[in-house]
Formats: sequence, structure tokens, C-alpha cells
Amino acid sequence: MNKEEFRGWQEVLFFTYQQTFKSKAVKILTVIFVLAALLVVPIMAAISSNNAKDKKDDSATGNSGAGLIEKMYIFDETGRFADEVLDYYAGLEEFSETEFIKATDLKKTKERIKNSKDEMLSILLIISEKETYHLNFYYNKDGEIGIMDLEDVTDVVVDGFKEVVIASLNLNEDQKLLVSNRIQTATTVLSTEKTKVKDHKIYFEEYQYTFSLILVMTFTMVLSFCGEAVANSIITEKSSKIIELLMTSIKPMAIITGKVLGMLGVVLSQGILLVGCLAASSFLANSLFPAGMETGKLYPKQMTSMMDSIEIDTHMLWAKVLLILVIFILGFLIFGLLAGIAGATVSKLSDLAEGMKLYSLSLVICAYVGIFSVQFGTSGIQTWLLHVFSLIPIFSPFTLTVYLLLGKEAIWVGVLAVVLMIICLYLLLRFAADVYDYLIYYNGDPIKLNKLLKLSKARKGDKKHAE
Amino acid sequence: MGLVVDKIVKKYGENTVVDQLSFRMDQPGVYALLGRNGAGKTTTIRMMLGMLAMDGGSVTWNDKPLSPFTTNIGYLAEERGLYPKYTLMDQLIYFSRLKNISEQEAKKRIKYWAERLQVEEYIYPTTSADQKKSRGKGAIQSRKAEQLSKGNQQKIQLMASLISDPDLIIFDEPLSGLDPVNADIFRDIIHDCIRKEKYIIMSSHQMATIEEFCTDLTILNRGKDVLSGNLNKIKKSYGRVNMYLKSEEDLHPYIKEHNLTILEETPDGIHIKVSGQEEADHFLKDLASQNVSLIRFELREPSLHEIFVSTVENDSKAGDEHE
Repeated sequence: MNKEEFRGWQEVLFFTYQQTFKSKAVKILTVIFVLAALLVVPIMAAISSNNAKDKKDDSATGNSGAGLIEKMYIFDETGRFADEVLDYYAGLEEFSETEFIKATDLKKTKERIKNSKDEMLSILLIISEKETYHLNFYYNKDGEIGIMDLEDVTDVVVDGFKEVVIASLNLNEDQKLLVSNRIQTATTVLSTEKTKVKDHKIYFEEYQYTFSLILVMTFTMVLSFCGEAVANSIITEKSSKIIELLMTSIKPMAIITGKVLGMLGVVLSQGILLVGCLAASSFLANSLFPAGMETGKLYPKQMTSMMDSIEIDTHMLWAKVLLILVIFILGFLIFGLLAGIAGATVSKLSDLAEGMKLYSLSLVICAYVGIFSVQFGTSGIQTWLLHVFSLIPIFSPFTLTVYLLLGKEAIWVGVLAVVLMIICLYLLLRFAADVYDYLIYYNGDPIKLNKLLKLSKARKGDKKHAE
Repeated sequence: MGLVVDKIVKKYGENTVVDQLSFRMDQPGVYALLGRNGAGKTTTIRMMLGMLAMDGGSVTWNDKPLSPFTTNIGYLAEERGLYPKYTLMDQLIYFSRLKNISEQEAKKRIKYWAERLQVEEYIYPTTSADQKKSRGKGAIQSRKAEQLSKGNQQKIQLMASLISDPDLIIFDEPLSGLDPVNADIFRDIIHDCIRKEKYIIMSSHQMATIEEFCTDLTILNRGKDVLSGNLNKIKKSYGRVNMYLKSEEDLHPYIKEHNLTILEETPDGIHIKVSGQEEADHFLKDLASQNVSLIRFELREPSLHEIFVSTVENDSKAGDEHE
């Protein structure tokens, strides 16, 4: 592998970039994404604006949320927080109409809420501690409290709990954040038919999980789309014999490098365009529906609880964002190169699916690893496994991008992962250099992985022999 | 100076597809590489261009290893290819840029070649004022390769291979699949390249094409050089062994009397094989003495086609016997 093998990659990059943007599919996708990005914030702001108005009306009539609750029984299994939280909640404006009672007999309180007609607007809050803090809400199935009302109450209660209890503990900022992330809430419906009809658990980290899932799936989709585009373009050049003409000017490695970087350019440009459109969208929403936007923020009120719950770790945020960008780019290059090699193992467009089988399978495995490690991470167990997944180069983009942002992995892990990814990319480039000039002229049935590895070994031997 | 191909070898496993092949071009002109299908011509060309690694030997240009990065090479491959979905203008500019030609200069050259090859209407399609109005600016866009006939695609490929004004040009079957008008356009361009003192390697199965352009040649069979040298000298070495006769009288009895072999009979005459000038003179004198009037008499060297067929057949027979 020498410098000459890469000569001319810039021209391939520019051509790939230009032609990808000229393709109808990309044009249509870009228009759809831009329109969606431009409209999403104003639409959400408009909805938020209406909701805020409705909520205001409801609170005025005392028909929903915290204002609806007549009595709240608090049973503290830990025996440490009841008095403090009771005083705190009683002083909140949201609970101005609510009577707070310290429950001493749990069984009797549950029975009362379940059976007494006077307790239809009562809830029972049980505070317990098992590895983490649990806030369990009980209410009558036939009462007037709905799940949406309870969610409003849950938000206020959890915020209050954090404010009073965690703040009072003698913890440093990191410990506070850790404890705060571990609070779990649950709601239980009490019914006369059965003691426990439904146990609907809502993890506090639910939004974090959704956010992580969106990142992993987006990355998987981008890699799937771009990988196929790279492979498709290589097979087109092979099957239509353009490669013969190209080879009089550049080497195969320059072609694959230019193509992968060209596609990366397309993805980054689309990303920048979308971010720009979202910013424009936010400004548009601010001027059109100011009531629906969070004050001083770029997102609508509707997203406030979600954004707060994601709890992006702002400590050294720019360094993390930069690291994530580097990990994304390196991941893109690794997978792009794999897609290029996979594409070169076949000679006809009709064999594309066959050639890409292994690539697609790897992508699916990586996506699953990403998703499962997110689950491991949020449930607070198996963090050692997360470290392993974070440092395996093909998994890093699917795990680290999320965890650095959420502060669940340290920056040094990210830096180490980058180093490992660079080594992996270099080895992959060497492998590509060994087999690619053979593959580029190969005409026949798709080449399997074992044959590819044998070929690489044989060609290394040939090169040594030639030297 | 010039091109030197020295004992190049290519093996695929146990199979040697090019075996110790050597030839050289010391001065501009056209050098022909001939051979049956699978003889090793395209493999030789690919090794020369650095597309395939050699298992032995060397290729030099002006005493330095031939490389697309140091030598301006134009290549019209046998298996032609263009990007089917991209516009002609875009891909021609791309091919030019790969040869380090600026976009501005590339556009000038594309214009020149488009006129020369009569493909302006595909690269610069014009639309009526009404069409422009109804379809917008995008309507005036260069055509895509998939919208062109095979012959026109071939012209674009020729344009792509010559756009960098290369010093060394490789034409693999340049005239195959062309109609007579387009074939003439290609011929003119090849003659132009010869006039401009380019080094040209040509591979073709059309012997007439080779005879029209080439000064030197190598005939390959099973990857080996079975005949090479200057075309005229090779022909001379065979002597004048082809006699063409046409008469209103029946010549068969005389031919039989002289034990001569008829190779072909056409309305245009009889093609007879003779051992050389002496036998031909003797036969002609005999006809004259018997007052046989001739409309046509021609004595000439074997055609390249005949040399090729006999050389390859003889080598194949020798190879089979050896095995």
C-alpha cells in the first residue's frame, strides 16, 4: 500500500458526491427531509400551544393533572423522607387543592382507595428503596384519574423528590446525576375485582432509551443505504466495463477511497442541511407560535419533558460531540470499505444481494448489539459488557455515540475506541489493497469470505516473493 | 526510446496465459497484436497498463517503467463501458479530470471531439424555444449514455480515450460493430493519430484494418509469440504465392495440367496457389503459347489473413503434437 495507489481519489470523491446528489432518489429524499425538518418544529409548537391553552383551561376548572387530586397518601418504606416530601409537595402551587396525608397502615390505605367512594380522586405514593429509588403510585380504576393525569402528577412528584431528597443527601454532582437517573416510577391500578389489575411500569430512562434507539437505527439506516450505494456503483463500473477506462488513470484503491469519502460527504452535507433546516424551523416556530415554544430553548414545550429526561451530559459537551463525530466518520469509513469489498466480490448487479449478504448481516448484528447494550446500560447492569462493546471497532459507532452523549462512558474510552478504530481501518485498507485489484476485474460467481481470505494470504505471499 | 515490452509473463495458477512475450516500438506508428480469442492479447494490454500484475518481465516507456501516472495513455477497451445513468458531459469531464485536465480545458476538447465525431446533438441537445419554456432550464441537458445507440456510445468512448491527447494509444478492436460511415470517421481519426506521430498498439480480428494501419505486428497463440516483425518483411518472406486469374475461357484444364491448387473460385476469378514467381511465370507463358486470353492476372504476397491463419494453425498443430 503506497501513496500512488490513492492518487486521484479526490476526483472520484467529487464525481461520486456530484452524481449522488443528482440522482432522483437522493433529490426526492432530500426534499422530503428538508420539508419534514422545516415543518416539524412549527407543527409541534402549534400543538404545544393548543395543549398549553387547554391545560390552562383545565387547571382553571381543576379538571386535570395535579389540580385534580384531592388527597395524596404518602407511605415511606424507608422511613426517612415522608415528612420532608410531604411538606415540600404541600407547598407547591400545583397541589394547592390537594390534602397530603402520611400513611401508616399500607393495607388499610390501599383498601380505602380501592373501596371508598370518597377516595375516587385520591392516590397513594409509596416510596421504597431497592438498589434504586422507587416511587409507586396507586389509584382507583373506577376513579376520575386517568393515565394522562397521573403522568402530570408523576412529573411533579419526581421533580420534587429529586429536589428535596437527592439534594439533601451528601452526594457530589456525578453521584447525584447517577441517583437521579436511577429513579423508577410505577403506577398500579387498584380495583375491586382484583387487587392489582395492571402494573404499568414507566422507567425514568424511557426517553433516554428511545433517544438511543433513534440514534442507533439512524446510523444503521445510513450505513445500509450508503453501503449499498457504494457497492452498487462499484458493480456498475465492473459490469459496464468502465473500470477498464478508469484504470488507465487511477488505481483501484483510489476508486474505493473516493467513493466511500464521496458518500460520507453526501451524508455529512445532508446532516448539516437538516441541522440548518431544524434551526430555521425553530426560529420559524418561535415567530409563529411563541406560546408553544419553551422559553429560551429551540424546542417546543411538548418536548420539554423528553429533553429534560434525556439528560444529555453537558460536561465537556463539545469534546464529546467532536469525539462522536470522529467515531461516526471512522465507523462510516470502516463500513463503507467493507461494502466496497463486498460489492467487488460480485460481477453482476443481479448478484448484489448475494454479495452484500455478509455486510447486511454484520450491520444487523451491530444494530442489535447497539440496541441491547442500550438496554444493559439503562437497566444499570452489565456495564462491563458495554465497555467491551464500546471498544470493539465495528460496534463502537453503535454504542459509544449514544453513551458519550448521555455521560455513561468516559471520554478516555471514546479516545481509546478511536485509536482502535483507526488501527482497524488501516488493517482493512491493507486487506483491501491485497485483494481489490484482483476483485475489480473478477468476473464470475460471488466470492465467499473464506476464498477472499485465502486470496489475501496468497497475494501477500506473492508480493513478498516479488520483493 | 519508445515502448519496450520485455519477456512479460502472466500465470493463473498452473496456466501460463502470456509466456515471455517481447516486442518494441522504437518509433511512432501502429503496432498490431493479433491472436485468436483467448490468445492473451487483452491480458498483455492489461499488464502493459499496470492493471494486472506481471509474473515476470517488464514494460518500459522511454526507458522508465510504463505507468498511467507518468505516461499519458489512451485506451479504447474491447469491452466498452460508460455510466449508463450519468450525462455524457458529466462523465467526459470526469474522465478528463482523472487525466489532470482542467474542467474548462476539458469542455473545449469535448466540443472539438463532439464536432469531429458528429455527436454534438447528444452532448449539446438543443430544444425549441417552446420546449425550453415548458420544461425549464433543465431541459437542455446532455444525454445519458443509455439513451445512445451502440455506435454512438462507441464514439463517446473513443472521445474519452483521446481527450487527454495521449502519447501512447491502445485500440482494442476499434472498428468492431461500427456501420461503414462511422467506421470511416474512426479510420480518419486513427490516420490523424498516426500523422501526429503517436505510438499506437492495435488489437483486432479484422485483418483488413490491421493491414491498413500497421507497420509491425506480433501474432500470439496460446500466450506465445509465434510470429513478429515488420508486416512488409513478413509478407515478402512468404514470396508471391497467390495468383489471381480471370478469363472468358475455361482455365481448369491448364491448371490441372500444371498440378496447381485452386484456393478459391469467385465470379471475379480464380485464386491459385503457386510456389513462387518462377512457377507463375512458367504457367503464364504456357497460357500465352496456347493463345488463352486473360482479363485479369495478378501475382501477390499472401494476405495477412492467410499468414495469420496458417501461422496459428501450424503452431497449434505443433503444440498438439508436442503434447
